[in-house]
Amino acid sequence: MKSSPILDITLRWLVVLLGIVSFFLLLRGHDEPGGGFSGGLLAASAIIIVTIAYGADAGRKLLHFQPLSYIAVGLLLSVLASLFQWDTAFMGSLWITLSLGFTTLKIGTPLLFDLGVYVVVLGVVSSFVLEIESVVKTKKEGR
Amino acid sequence: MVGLVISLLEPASKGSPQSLNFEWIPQLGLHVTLRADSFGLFIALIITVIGAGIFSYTSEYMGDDSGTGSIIGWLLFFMASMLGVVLADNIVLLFVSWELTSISSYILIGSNHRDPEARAGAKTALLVTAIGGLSLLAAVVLLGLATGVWNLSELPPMHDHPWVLSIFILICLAAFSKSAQWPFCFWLPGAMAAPTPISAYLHSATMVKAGVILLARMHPILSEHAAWTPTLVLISSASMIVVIFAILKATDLKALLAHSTVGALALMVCLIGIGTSYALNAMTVFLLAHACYKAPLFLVAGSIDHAVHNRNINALGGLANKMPYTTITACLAGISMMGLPPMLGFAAKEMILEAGLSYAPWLIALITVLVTAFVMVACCVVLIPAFGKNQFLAKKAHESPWSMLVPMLLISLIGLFSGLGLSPLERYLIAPAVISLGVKPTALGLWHGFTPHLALSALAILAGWLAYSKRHVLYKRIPILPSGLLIHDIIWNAVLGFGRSLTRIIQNGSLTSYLGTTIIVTCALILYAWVQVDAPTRPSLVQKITLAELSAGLLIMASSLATAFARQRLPAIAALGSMGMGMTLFFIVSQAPDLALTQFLVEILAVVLLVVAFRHLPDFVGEPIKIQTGRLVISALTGLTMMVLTLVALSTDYGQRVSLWHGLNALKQGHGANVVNVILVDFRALDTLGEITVLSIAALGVGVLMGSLKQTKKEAT
Amino acid sequence: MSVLLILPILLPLISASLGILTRQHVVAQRWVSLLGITTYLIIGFVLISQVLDQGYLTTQVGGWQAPYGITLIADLLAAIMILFTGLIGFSVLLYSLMSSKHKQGDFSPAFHPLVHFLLMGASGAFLTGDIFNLYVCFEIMLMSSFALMTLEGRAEQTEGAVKYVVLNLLSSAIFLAGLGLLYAKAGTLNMADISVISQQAVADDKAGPIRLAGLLFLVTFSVKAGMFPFFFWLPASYHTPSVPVSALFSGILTKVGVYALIRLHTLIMPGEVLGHKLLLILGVSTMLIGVFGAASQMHIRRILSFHIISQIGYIVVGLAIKTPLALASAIFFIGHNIIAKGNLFLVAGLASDSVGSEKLHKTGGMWKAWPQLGLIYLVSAFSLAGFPPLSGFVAKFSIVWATVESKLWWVMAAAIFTGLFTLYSMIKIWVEVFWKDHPDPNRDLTVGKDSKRLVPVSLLALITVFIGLAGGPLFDICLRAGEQLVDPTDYILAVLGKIK
Repeated sequence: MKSSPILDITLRWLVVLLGIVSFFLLLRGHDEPGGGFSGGLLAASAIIIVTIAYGADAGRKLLHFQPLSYIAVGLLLSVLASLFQWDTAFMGSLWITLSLGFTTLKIGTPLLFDLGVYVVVLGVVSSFVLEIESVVKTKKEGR
Repeated sequence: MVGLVISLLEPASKGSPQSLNFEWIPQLGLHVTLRADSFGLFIALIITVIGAGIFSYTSEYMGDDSGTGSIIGWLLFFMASMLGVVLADNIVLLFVSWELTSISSYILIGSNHRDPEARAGAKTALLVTAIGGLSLLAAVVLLGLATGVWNLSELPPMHDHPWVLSIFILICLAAFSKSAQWPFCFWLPGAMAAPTPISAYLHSATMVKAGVILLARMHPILSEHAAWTPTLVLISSASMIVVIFAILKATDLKALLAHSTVGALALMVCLIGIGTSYALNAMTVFLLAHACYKAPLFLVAGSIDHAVHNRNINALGGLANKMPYTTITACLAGISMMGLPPMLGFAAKEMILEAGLSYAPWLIALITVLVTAFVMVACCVVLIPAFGKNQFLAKKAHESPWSMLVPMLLISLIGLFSGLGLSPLERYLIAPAVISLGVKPTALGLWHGFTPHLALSALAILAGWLAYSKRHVLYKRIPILPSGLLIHDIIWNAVLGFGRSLTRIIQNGSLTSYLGTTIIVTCALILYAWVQVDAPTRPSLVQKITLAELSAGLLIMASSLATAFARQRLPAIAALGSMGMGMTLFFIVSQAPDLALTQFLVEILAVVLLVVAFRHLPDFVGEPIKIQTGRLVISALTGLTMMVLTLVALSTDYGQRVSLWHGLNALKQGHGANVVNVILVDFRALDTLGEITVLSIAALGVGVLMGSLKQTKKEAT
Repeated sequence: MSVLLILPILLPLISASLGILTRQHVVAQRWVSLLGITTYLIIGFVLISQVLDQGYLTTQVGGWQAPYGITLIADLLAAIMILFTGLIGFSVLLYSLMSSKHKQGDFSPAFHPLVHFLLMGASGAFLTGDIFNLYVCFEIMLMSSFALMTLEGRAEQTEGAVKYVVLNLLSSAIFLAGLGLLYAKAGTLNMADISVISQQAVADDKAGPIRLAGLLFLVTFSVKAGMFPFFFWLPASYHTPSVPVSALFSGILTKVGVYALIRLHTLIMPGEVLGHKLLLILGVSTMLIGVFGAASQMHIRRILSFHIISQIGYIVVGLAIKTPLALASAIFFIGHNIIAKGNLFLVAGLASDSVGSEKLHKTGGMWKAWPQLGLIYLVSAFSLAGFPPLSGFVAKFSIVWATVESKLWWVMAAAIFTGLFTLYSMIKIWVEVFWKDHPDPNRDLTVGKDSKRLVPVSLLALITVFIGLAGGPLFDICLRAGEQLVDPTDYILAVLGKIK
């Protein structure tokens, strides 16, 4: 694929932007529309864009770890989040409020749980696109 | 074993049988209750004594064959189950032992499993006895639930219970199939494919008598019923007729013996059917006599087979010199079978004839003919091999080793000595056994004076000799009866054929038809239930619709039609995407921004993924869609059903307590203003955990399908 | 005891996740898998002993009071199902691990994680007290079984798997429609709560809409259970995956469907909401058509697959009669069937590895080549045909007993007829695979022998014998389970804490 400077720069910014927005969606999800699921989808779309533009290897490089590892870690995160109140209730939630001066931050186990969701969704969608892309590529080369 | 049985005899004859009882599945009436009454012990004695002989004979007969050990094992297994049949007091335990004899018999018949005939014989035997076993199962449950009693010794006589006829029929099916009575008599000759000592033990001396024993046990309980005597006598007569024809057609030693065994069993069933105390006495004596002559005769046939590898009466002869002891055994047993004094067989036959005389003239005639046939069989089996003229096989013959000779000689001698020593036999065995069957014992004697039945037996012996000498003529003249085996095969094949066509129709391999069936049945169920039951609560068809809802609905409908009719990939994907946008619109209209956002993202990603997957494939132009009536009907039906369901769902009956609670408590207890998110990550977080698991599995599945996680190779070889 | 209820769901999830992480280290992955299933099995034993002690174990997930959150509950039925799932899962994994000829990388790295995911879905289905959560568990099972089915990637597998997944997705859609209707009408997803409301609706004469939802559930669960006329997916797909996968499916998938039917009929829609007659007719047709199908097949695993259907019929008959004894016999039948049928699949796999085919006209000679395997086959096959003193005898006997007690003569006749044909199929396999000579006289049948794998199959055969011999105490447990099901009052009390 030919590289074009405009595409390169736009993409770089877009990926960063998508990453930030997706994380923002995850964080605000408890009070406003958003959450781990939509956040994860948005983050994955960054991987998709890069994969379409530069191929599966670039997508993999951006992810750094393999998608399946994301999935496993995400699942374990969600499990971990549900074990904080282990002795009284499985999946019982625990909240603390941090005061940061300019704003207060609510941090609770459901957020950790949602982070697990985020990571799993990111891993799953990236694995879809990367698998499909590699197969399509080998098919094309084989022909 | 024999010693144990004998030691139990003493208390049993005094009327206080030893018993053993522990629980197995008490909720289902199943206790392991053994009760050593005299009749049971009488049979148990036959089983153990003959069994001991058979074990010795078998190990020699089978030689160094690698299967010998396992055959002995199965024989022991059989012996234990057979003892269970005769000693069980609990009727469920009786059934259990009964089934175990069927299994062990199956395996034993198939010992020569490389021979297709042995396999077929074993299969037929098992299937036929399984019919009986299942009938017995039903009978046992009916009996137990009708009376509430599960022990044979406590079952009351039942003649006015509404179930009694069914129980009787089921018991008859069980007994007749096990004891090879008409119309099930065909399996026994087929079972002769077993090694001969096994035929001697299972298929003449013990297992086939299980049906007779069952009937004898049921006699006190069911015999008052009007159907008892006619059914048993008629069925056994039918069996006798079949046997007589079959004997005249048989040329194989074992087949001759097998047919005559069916005849002997028919006699026993007939005697139980007559049901007088004299008849039952006769049955008991005959049971012993038969075991003592038939088993040795089988073993003789086995020895001959062992020596010259042939059992055809037209090929044998001249073995008397080469195999003297075998010949002596054959003579002893044969005389008993012919019913000549001083053997036990004589006493038994006299009693049978007398019992028959008391019932009906035609029956006695039939029995006489049967006895004639027995005489002929005995002659064939004893005389032809020993003294026949056909000698060329005899040259290489040799006498069997002692471990085979001694058992058969001893067993046949029992027949002689018990004939000579009738009174101790009567006192210690027969009389107590008969008493435990609930009837009065009769004095036994070899000599009853000149009576009509003595004349009959003389006649039978003469006629039997005549038939023997003219057997070639008879062989040609006698017609072949339609074989029961053939009918059995036809029925099975018909049922199997039916099953095959049914399966081919139902499981026809077409996914379309599977889907169609599932959808049609579901819709029919729902519509039927709706129309039938719910006329008053049917909601009105007219509902208020806002403009936004209408436009979202139209968008969905239009794009689904476009998807179905698109002939190229990209337009189809695009149409699919716009359907998703319609859904998003719906969520927005219904004020669910969270769902709308997620739906929106999912739809975009789906479209992108589809395009990624398809973009390198050659552009594909589908056939123009043809409208098929059947599919149209299914679609319309589905649409109608969904509409009905939606309309029904529009009104709430029992409140929305849960959703209201969620709305109220999301912020208060869930620390979040976004109700949907609180539900997802807190109230119903387990569902979410499940859903992300589903997604993860989907990723694994894609990996498997695409090949990166595919199984490399099953076995490296 | 909230931990005990959550572990059967959480533990497989953790094992599966760790399995994914260790996917490139075959040995590590196997140890994780084995450790996971062993712990699962132990938990199964602890769970059932606790439930026997206390009657019901409940936990409200997240501490949210029912019916607002999700409730997990174990009654005896659920505990029995978990235990047997553990037993078959343990044996199947042992079977796949214990091969003397195992080369590294023989199996897909996805195999072990997928099996654990399947176990997670099954446990969730057994333990959940929430019908939407049940739907989620069904999805977990559907996805993982679909992936397991295509593991080897042969064309035949893909074809079977497509039929499987399409028909099951249809059933999911039907389930979802039912859920929507139910939530609209009853306003709750908690099964105990639904039970209360549906009884209320019957009393108010407003049960119609709820009955519609019930019928939709009935269809869904019938598809899952492999009932007539919805079983098509089962014979189309069960013979295609690798042997351990088949065995696992036969032990778990349809049984979860039947489990859901039991819950539907005894808890969610008790009383006259669904017709007993309808279930009875469906059960009997399933029994007969399944056994006819089996008799007409000439492929080992196809025969076994059709028998799964027929035996589902037996179980449903027990459910439809719905006395404590009939339910007990249905439950006993489930347990027996999981073990005996699963083992038959494994034995069939060992035999066909040796003879080189699963088509009956290409098999033979195994009785001489491998008598131990023959004996194990005999135990399982005669057990399936209902011969004493094996597990199947108790199951069949108690079903016949239940039909006689309710005077359902035609059902009894059908059950007996089915028994005869089951025997026919079992000895057909026996004769063709074990007794007759191999059609190729030069084939050395001892080459494919994999003696280490006798360990798991012997274990299952021993369990079959044990279930038969210890029938008394085990049937007692089933009877208690049956009594719990017949009267759901205590169940509802355990979930909601009160009865409205």
